[in-house]
Amino acid sequence: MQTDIILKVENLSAGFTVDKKEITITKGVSFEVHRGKTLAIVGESGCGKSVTVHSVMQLLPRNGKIVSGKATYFKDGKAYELSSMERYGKELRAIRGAEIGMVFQDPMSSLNPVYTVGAQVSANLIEHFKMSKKEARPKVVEMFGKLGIPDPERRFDQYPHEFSGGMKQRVMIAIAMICNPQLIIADEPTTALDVTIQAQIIDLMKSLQVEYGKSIILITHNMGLVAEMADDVAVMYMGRVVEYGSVEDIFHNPTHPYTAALLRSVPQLGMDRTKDLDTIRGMTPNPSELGEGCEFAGRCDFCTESCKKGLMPYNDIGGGHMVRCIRTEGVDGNE
Amino acid sequence: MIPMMLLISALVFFALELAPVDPISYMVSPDMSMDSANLEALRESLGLNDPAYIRYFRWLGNIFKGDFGYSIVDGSSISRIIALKLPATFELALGALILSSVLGIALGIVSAIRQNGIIDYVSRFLGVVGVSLPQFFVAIIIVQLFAVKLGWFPTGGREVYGAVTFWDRLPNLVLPLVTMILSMTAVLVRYTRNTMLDVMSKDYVKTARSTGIAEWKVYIKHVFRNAMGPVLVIIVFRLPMLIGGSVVIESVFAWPGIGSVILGGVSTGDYPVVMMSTLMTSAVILFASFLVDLLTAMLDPRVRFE
Amino acid sequence: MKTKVKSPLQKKIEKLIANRLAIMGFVLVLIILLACIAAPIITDFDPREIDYGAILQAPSKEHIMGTDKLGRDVFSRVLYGGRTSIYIGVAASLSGALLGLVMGALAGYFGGRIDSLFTRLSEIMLTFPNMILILVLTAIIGRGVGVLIFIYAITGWMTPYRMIRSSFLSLREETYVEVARSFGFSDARIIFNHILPNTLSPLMVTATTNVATYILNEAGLSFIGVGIPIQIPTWGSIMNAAKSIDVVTSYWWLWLFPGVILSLFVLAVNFLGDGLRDAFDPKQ
Repeated sequence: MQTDIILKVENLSAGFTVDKKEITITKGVSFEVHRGKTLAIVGESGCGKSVTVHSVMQLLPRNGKIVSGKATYFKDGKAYELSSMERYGKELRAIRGAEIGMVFQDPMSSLNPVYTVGAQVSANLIEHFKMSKKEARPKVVEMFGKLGIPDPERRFDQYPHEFSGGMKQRVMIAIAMICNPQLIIADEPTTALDVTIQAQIIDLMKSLQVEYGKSIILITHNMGLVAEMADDVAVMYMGRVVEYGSVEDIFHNPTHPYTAALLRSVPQLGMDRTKDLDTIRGMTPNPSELGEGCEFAGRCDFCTESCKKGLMPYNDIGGGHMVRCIRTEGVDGNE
Repeated sequence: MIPMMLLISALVFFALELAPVDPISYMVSPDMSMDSANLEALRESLGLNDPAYIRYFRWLGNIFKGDFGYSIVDGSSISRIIALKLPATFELALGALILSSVLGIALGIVSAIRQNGIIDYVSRFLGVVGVSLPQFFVAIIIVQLFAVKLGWFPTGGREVYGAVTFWDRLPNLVLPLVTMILSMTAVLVRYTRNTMLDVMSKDYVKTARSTGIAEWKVYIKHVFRNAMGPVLVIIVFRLPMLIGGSVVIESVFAWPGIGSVILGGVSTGDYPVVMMSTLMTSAVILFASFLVDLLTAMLDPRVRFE
Repeated sequence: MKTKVKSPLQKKIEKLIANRLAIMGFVLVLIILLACIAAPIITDFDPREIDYGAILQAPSKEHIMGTDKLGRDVFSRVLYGGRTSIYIGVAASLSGALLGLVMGALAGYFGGRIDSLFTRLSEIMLTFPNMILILVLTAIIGRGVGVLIFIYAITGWMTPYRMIRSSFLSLREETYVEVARSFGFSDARIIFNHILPNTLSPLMVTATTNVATYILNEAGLSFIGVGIPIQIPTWGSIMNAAKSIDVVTSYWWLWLFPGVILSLFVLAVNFLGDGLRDAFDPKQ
């Protein structure tokens, strides 16, 4: 029944303890990742997209934890409930790296400076397949070649500081890919890179999906990237998924005013030069100052009195296209 | 290291120039300068009337030949004094360094891994106490308790090296060593803990965890391995303080080391002895920090390639 | 509905007050300091008044901390000695910080030759055993309260210097400094109005813990008899009597009381300094 779903996240909330106060960052996040497909999680910085995937993998910093909800990984018809496993216990460790690989935002700081890149990629193989260093080496070199790292045999023995940013991100992808995981979580994999390098890394990730049928969760704030790569999209705002649907739903029938505003703020080829790009008015509210009602109310053009009270409904407006808004008609993205 | 040593030697030489002593009194052994008639001839032949920079290089040359000059108080050869006393100080300092490093780093690691746990709170509290108690006060209490009341250890002194076995010399070492370790360990626990915590928040530690390796491997191979460099540096930074602190410790425990030589020299105005002891002590410290620089380079590939 | 926005300073002070150890330290520092200042009110004994009729008396109602070998009241000596000890610690820390501040500001702002000269000098002095340097200097210059403060200043400027220098190096590149420069503000004005205020809180933390360091160091020197001359009571020079083993064994009040007060004071200063560091300089 759920064979095409690889990861299911239901009502997941996560938070941090800061100065003895508990702050919930993500609230009731739900989404599904389909086999061989890409789910993009978009939203502005601080909206909780990164916290969401880190909580799925239980890789939050020490003061962070899952508050409620669950995340389930499916393999060969079996369900593995990640959120109920012990944080650094054996079960979860068997999944990290082997079943789900991760690529992080900043390749500059994501590699340990004191080990060779080869050793760092090998470590993953050695951990999950009980290989020796010697056995791991050719596999890593082969992976480096596939990922477009030139002269892989020599590069294997070099240290991270001898690599450029783009090359480091390829090494990170190699770490994520080396054990042949089914799902790759990429947390803003191109944000820290130059624009030309960004394109190369994205092409690389796309080819991984096409050639090896990997599932990908792509976290980004770049709507252009979403259009290029995603099959499904979850739009997050202030720790909640405000709109969730297929890429067509989101781009052709954006219904949440925030999604529509996000789309309007992206420059498009052939658009009127004299027209200013839209910006979203107002500022992101401080999470601790949020009261009742819709988090977006203060910045929304469609805001009504009822938006400021109670919990927002989460409506299915057709075919799994979900919107957390009292309105159910689409917002014309181009007005 | 070499230019540093030259600089320090120059400082020592010109400080000696400023000190109110006639250089002839420490440049030749006292029995040679007894005859006052010969003194002026001797002065000329030794080149004491030469300009200062020439005398500086000659003095430096003599040091390299092992001729450190003579004490102006009792006329004994300074090289003999140093050869006799410096090992005693380094026995104490090195012992304290090794023990406090092991203890401090181990406690620091545990405190960091179990952040806000009982061990962390206790070692953080003791860390502040350790640097706040005056060493001599601790020494007095320890002597009163373990030497006078319980009689487990002697109140002071040092058995001559080579005359008795190591085990016979050990009891004399215990109390001064314990006193010395206290503050050094306190500093190291705190520094190791904070460095470990700092490294733990690094992205590459998260990367390591994302590959599913065991937590102890994360701590040893990634966190501790990267924290070690800064911790080593702080250990070397503490070395001068450790040797400096030995002045007080040696005084309380009647430990016949270089600290008590310097202290004695200062109170009797024996400048040449003070200066040469200082020079030799800093030479050893510089050498130790040079070794640590090498070690750091071995630990960190980024430094290695420069 | 809108909550009041707190200024960063308010938040820092709130954090400091929430730190129980720091507050305990602060209170203890205050108590000991006030007791030392109010010594003439608290005790009628003159710390230097010799009374051969009352030598080496154990603590009693009249002499709550006993008397020393010359019949002087130990409690009075601890109070008056505290004045000198605390004065030396504070004055030495402030003058070291000031010297480091000036040198660090010059080196960090102007860079070049001044910078490499000062930095080299600080490296040499850091590898040198400080205690030995202080000993040598007391031998050459002499002994006394003013001399000791001077020696601490010239041997203790390195840490403040390095802190100030490195924050200058980074702040000098900040946009607001460049803006100030492009407005044609003078170097002095930029240093005093735009850069210095941003370097003061870490300096304050270091200066606080340095007070503890210098008080300890002075006590150590005076204890072994090369610091403050024995005629001037300080916490260290009072304990100088405990250099002989029979004082240690038979006349415990001569060293235990000054030792405990000294330790408590230094401990309190360190707890306060730690609290300040947590609140104002969380990076370290």
